Amino acid sequence: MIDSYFLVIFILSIAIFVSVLRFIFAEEIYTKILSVNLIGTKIVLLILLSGMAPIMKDFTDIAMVYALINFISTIVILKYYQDKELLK
Amino acid sequence: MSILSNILLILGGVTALIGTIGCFKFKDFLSRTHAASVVDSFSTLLIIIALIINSGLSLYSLKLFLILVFLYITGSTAMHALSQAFLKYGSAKGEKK
Repeated sequence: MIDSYFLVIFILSIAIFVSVLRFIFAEEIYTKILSVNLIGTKIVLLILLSGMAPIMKDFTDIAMVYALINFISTIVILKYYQDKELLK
Repeated sequence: MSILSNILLILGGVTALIGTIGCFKFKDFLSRTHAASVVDSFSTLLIIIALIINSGLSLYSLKLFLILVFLYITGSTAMHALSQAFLKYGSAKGEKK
């Protein structure tokens, strides 16, 4: 059971690395916001997977707070760029 | 029970990798949101259901279920807001509408 945990954590780490490459090579701001949202979702899954170790049972609360902050930051950054576009 | 949990975990990881590679390879922005929504819907569903099956019925699995519901609602809402903002303002340079 614990081997599949390590395998999935490894796969998610590779996916986070590819998302960081997407963030670096993006042309426009919307793709950067999309990739930050994608990285946040995968980090929530990574926190949940590493919280299944027996000494780290409290990580689900941290994952819940992380998901909340991820959503709010996406909406706030979009609102900021919308106001900036409206001022032009 | 453990075999089902293993299968769901590995399917969730593979789905996350597929969605991310699609988000990396597509040229258009709306195609990228289509590929990124695969991670938001399928990968979270499969991995959290695998963790719920593995941990049994307790307060811990209730927290996992709440995280699943929250990720479903907010992921769809964030993608919708992002696509609407792109359709309104996103034809400045670089990416076509």
